[in-house]
Amino acid sequence: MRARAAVNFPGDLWSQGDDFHAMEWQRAAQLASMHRIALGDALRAIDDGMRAGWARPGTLQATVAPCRPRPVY
Amino acid sequence: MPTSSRVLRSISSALDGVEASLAALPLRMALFGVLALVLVWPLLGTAADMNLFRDAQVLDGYEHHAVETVRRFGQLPLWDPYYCGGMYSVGSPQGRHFSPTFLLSLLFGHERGAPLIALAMIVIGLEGAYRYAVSRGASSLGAVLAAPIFAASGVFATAPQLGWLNFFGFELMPWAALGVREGLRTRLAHGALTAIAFAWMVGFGGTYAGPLVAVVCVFETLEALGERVRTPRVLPALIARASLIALMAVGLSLFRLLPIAETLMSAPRVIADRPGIAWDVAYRALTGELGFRGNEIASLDGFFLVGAWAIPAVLAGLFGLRAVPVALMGALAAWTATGYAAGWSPFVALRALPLFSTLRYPERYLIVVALAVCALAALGVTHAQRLTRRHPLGLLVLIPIVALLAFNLRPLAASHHAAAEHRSLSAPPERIDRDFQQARGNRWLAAHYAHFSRGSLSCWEAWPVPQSPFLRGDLPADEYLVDPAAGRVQRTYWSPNRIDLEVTLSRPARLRVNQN
Repeated sequence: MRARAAVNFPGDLWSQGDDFHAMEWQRAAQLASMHRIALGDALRAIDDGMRAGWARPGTLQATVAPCRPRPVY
Repeated sequence: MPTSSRVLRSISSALDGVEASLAALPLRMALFGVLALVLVWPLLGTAADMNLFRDAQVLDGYEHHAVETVRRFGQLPLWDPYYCGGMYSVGSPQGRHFSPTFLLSLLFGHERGAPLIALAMIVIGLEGAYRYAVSRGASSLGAVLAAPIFAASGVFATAPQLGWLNFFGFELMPWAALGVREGLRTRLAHGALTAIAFAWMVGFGGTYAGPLVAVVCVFETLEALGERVRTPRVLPALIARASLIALMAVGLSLFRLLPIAETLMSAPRVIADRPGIAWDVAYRALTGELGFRGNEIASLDGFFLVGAWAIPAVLAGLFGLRAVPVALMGALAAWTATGYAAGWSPFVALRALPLFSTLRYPERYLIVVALAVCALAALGVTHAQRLTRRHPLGLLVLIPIVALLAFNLRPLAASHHAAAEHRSLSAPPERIDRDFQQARGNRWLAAHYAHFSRGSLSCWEAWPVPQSPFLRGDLPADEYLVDPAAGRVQRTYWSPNRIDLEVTLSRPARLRVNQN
């Protein structure tokens, strides 16, 4: 998802992050629906997992690019 | 007595009865209350749900965070740690929690409070539109029938769907304009209406409402000056009154204006496009039907709906000198709404002004057109009433106009219901009260995180929120020493506005709080 976001918004770090989060939202909604859990629980699981190191090192980014809304939409 | 005279007398007396009834505040408020209830009915049925639309996630989040700050921590919502790594809440222009409607959120919670805010603001807008139309010479019947054209117009139908509750600040537009009208013509004290309306709008996140209503107030001032241009000796007094009203408005809004100005000066919003809409798009926005692609609004059609059934009343209202300034205001606003589409419009000139340079969407001036249409339609009914009092055949004009204006409520209500039914809703997340920490978060779902005591670092706003590059969403503790070997830090108390720490150091060290 990060790689696809980098292609969609080359050179714009905030837009890349924002695009990634849009994809993450869709994926979290899919997973929540698949496992019959609330969307909030899926988000909480991402947070818990990031804090507890569930993912392989280096696969989850814990930082965000500072907010820079695009001058043109 | 000839038959025609008797008929005329009975018609006149019936019209007098209607006028007297509608001029009485209790009946009018009952009518407006019922209408507002019909409009927001689908919102009330889902009041406990969370709106998943991306803008709602941010804007409803602000309200939720403010409610949490007051209810749980007993503090004023000055700092919002739950979004973007921490924001200056007073200086965040789109937050709506510095207005009287915040009491509803405090009492009922921000989710259940939202439809009640919509209900209250629509009633306020209906009464404001009524009073504004009457001050422009409309009868009570005309003003009552025409008030929904503005106060139930399309923008207020789409606002709850998009989470743009702060757009209900536009419901205060007729009040602000009325304050200037009456403040310059009768008692200066009426200017207090303008000041209160402005302070409310600014406190309600009126990033567009404030500037656009200021333009309307400037128009009202110029109109008042134009009326007295043949008696130049009174002009200085009028200008002094207008200046006093402006001072009152700015003075009462300063509590929010200054922090917002500080925010926008430290992090200016940059707009680089040349937005605009063609005339036919503007017409369809005012008279078309809202369309949806999935749950997203498909186009501008019907977005500012005033209803095509109001057109006969508007045409009837155009007769007479009283209509000239209203029609001029509407025409200028419609032209402004075209932005850059037709080459040049007043929008281009307004963009040269400091605050207006940050406003992107010229089509929002169609909200001013809605107010002008409302006043013209009210004048149309008034003219038809006058005609009827002179000749019974006037009923042939009055009855169709009144019937069509009443029928116009149908598309307006349908627009509110369609927008409400096209919301993406879910139950709010389970509430978990625990130690607050920042999560990486997700701005598309930002309103979720505070429910489980987390903040969302992922951030979108209309302006570049200053964010520290050191923020992280995976820290064991959100207050830490940069050199962990220098000692230890223990959080003893946390609240949005205050954090207490117990720090033991073996040598000087830098302490970081994982917030901006």
